[in-house]
Amino acid sequence: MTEAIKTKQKRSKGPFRIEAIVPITILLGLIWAYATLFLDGHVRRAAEYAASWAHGAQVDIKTLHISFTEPSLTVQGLEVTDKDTPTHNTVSLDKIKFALLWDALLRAKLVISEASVTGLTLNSLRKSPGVVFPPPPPKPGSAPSITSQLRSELEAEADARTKNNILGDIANILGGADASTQLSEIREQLQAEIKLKDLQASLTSKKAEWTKRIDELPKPEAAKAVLDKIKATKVDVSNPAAAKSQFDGLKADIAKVDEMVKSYQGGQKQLETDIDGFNASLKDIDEAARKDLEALQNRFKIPSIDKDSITKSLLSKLLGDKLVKVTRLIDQAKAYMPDRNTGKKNEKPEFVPHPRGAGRTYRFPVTTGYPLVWLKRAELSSKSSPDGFTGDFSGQLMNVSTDPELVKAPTTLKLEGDAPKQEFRDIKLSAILDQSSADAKADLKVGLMPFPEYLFSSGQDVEFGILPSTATLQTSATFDGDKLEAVINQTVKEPRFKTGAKSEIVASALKSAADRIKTLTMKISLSGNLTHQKIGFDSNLGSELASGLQAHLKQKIDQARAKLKSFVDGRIGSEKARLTGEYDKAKSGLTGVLKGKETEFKNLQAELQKALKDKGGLESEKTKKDIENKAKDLFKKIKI
Amino acid sequence: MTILLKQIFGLIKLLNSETGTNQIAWGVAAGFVLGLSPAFSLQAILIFLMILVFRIQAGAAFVSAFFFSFIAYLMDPITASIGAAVLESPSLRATFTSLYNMPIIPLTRFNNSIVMGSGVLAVTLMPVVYVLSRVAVIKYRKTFVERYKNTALWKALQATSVYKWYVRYEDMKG
Repeated sequence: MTEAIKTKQKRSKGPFRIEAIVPITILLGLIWAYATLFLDGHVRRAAEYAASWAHGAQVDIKTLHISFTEPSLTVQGLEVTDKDTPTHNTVSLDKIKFALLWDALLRAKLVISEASVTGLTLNSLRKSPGVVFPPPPPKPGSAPSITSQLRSELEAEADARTKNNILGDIANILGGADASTQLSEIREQLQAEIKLKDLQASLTSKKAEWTKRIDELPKPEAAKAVLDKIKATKVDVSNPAAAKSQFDGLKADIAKVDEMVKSYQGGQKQLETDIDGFNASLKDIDEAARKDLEALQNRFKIPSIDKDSITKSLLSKLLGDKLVKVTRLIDQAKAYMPDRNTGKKNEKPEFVPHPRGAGRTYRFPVTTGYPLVWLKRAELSSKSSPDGFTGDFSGQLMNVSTDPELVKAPTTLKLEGDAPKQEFRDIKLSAILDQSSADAKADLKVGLMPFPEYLFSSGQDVEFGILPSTATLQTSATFDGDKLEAVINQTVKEPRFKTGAKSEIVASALKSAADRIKTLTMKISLSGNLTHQKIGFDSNLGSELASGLQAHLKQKIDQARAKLKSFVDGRIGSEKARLTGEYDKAKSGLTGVLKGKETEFKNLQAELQKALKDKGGLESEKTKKDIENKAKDLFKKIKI
Repeated sequence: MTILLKQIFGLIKLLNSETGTNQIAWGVAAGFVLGLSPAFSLQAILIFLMILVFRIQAGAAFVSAFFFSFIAYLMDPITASIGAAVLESPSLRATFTSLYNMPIIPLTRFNNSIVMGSGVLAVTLMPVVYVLSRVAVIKYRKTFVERYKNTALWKALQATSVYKWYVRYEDMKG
């Protein structure tokens, strides 16, 4: 009876495994408790760690909250340390909130339907300096970035150009530095002198060669012998056949003379060309002298008052610094821009079986899918505060995704506002990045911004710079496929300049030139592709200074140039005249001989024709034709 | 590992008892589906949860899953062609496109030919496996267990005090 009851009790356990359900429920409860109590903190620390390593400097997050009921992520107090200045933040944010879609999460995708970023501050002071990690070593074989290339090139030149640029040279000239003493100390040979000596040696050998070649040409004596032979020949008129034979012989002799004349004329022409060619070599001395003059101008730092060289010399550092910032953006854009060469653009979603090691995975058209990560819309706002670069900004960031072709909308960023503390007014930033077509466009306009004090030149003799002023900025960049175009325009209205020089004349000239400048414009242009760009600088500073200094400088520069020219002429002038005279003499002598022989040949040819005619050679031709005509008549009569 | 061994010993014990025929049969059937499913797929997790929640003999399920996973490996060419035929069927294209764009469903990896073929085979043959395993358990008990219980060795073992202590322990444990 007891056994039966026990068996019945054992059998009445029911279909559910209570001993398993209870532990599972407890486990789920523990997970819920962990998610409620500890998950936020652990995710915050993990995010700080990952972001710090990704950025290369400390990233702090004050609080982080994850909600599962309405999936959302809220981050408060985000601070990103500036790698170059660890005491400051590159960017700090009061609050970021991301609202996610459950529908996308159930497909293992992250779609941020609504986001808000508030309290954006740039370059704010940190409570304590952030940790900066050492940069990773460059990958072997990888090309350096545009930014690093440009930065190293500019840094190499920048200091030298600021300390010892064109204004220093101008000051030297205006200050009355005399190059005469230094010129007298120049001992080395000029290029023009070397060229002159070469040509002197060459002319001696050429003269011998030309004389030899004249001797090798056909001589009129040979033609004269033929003439004598014709004159001495007695034609037997009574015997037409013999007369014809004699005339044929004489004609052959005359043809030989004609050939001789032709050969002479050909050789004469070549020789004359060669002689004239040496004259062209003499002009090389002038070219070498011009180069010597240029080299001496550089050696004695005689400046050119052209706007381009002044602009390049004075603004290369300032514009270069701006350019580095632009190229840094290009480097960052390169990582985000799709590679057009992959050919993924035209790939349409369709039913495609993919061969795999284990079975085949079929892809069906995605009709309502999401990209892996998609930020649909983010509202950006910021209120000005006493700390860092803050302002009253508002804007939108839309459609940042890992699969733009699926989203079918370009990434756009719009931001407008003012930063009153920093005196930035009317800032408008607009950027569109269409990854599906690999086209991007960005515009930044600043209605009013401060232009800090900047020294264009800070040498020992002269100091020239701009005092704090206000400026406007217009920047635009377009990327169309492989073509990149970027322009930065900055205009300083009513700029005030800082001028100073040891010499009073220099200081006065510089001041009067600077006072003429009512508006200072600076323009940097970039064109090319993502890896190679053509860089252009332009500014009215060069032209304004050039025209302002023109009156003071022109006479001094002309005098200095004249001195150098006279130095070069003094070193080569007499020798060059002697060489030219020697050449002219040789040319006239040789040309005279050639012309004389040519005339002699022509006279002999005329005499030969005349002699042949005198011998009746022409009548003989008539006789021959008469005989031929008579023979033809005779053949017609007998009808052969 | 201890849990797994415990379940296997439980299976042996249950197999040799007079109860739990359906539990064992469902365990074998569930193991059949588990063995044919990809290791970390949604359907595998679902079957696993069912084994935990319902009184399905877990030992039978794990042993048969282990056994059928080898069978499934050998049958891959067949299941792949079955799956490909189903997935490429034009009449089902719209259904699969909808499923492909639904949440959660793509996590089953139904769009893989082997997964689909194995799934079709598992769903089709699961009732057959259940019935066959039930019949096999009953037959086993009737032939092998009965014959074994009548042997002198078993009777001698039952007479020992160790066995009696074991039976008392089992009764107390319930």
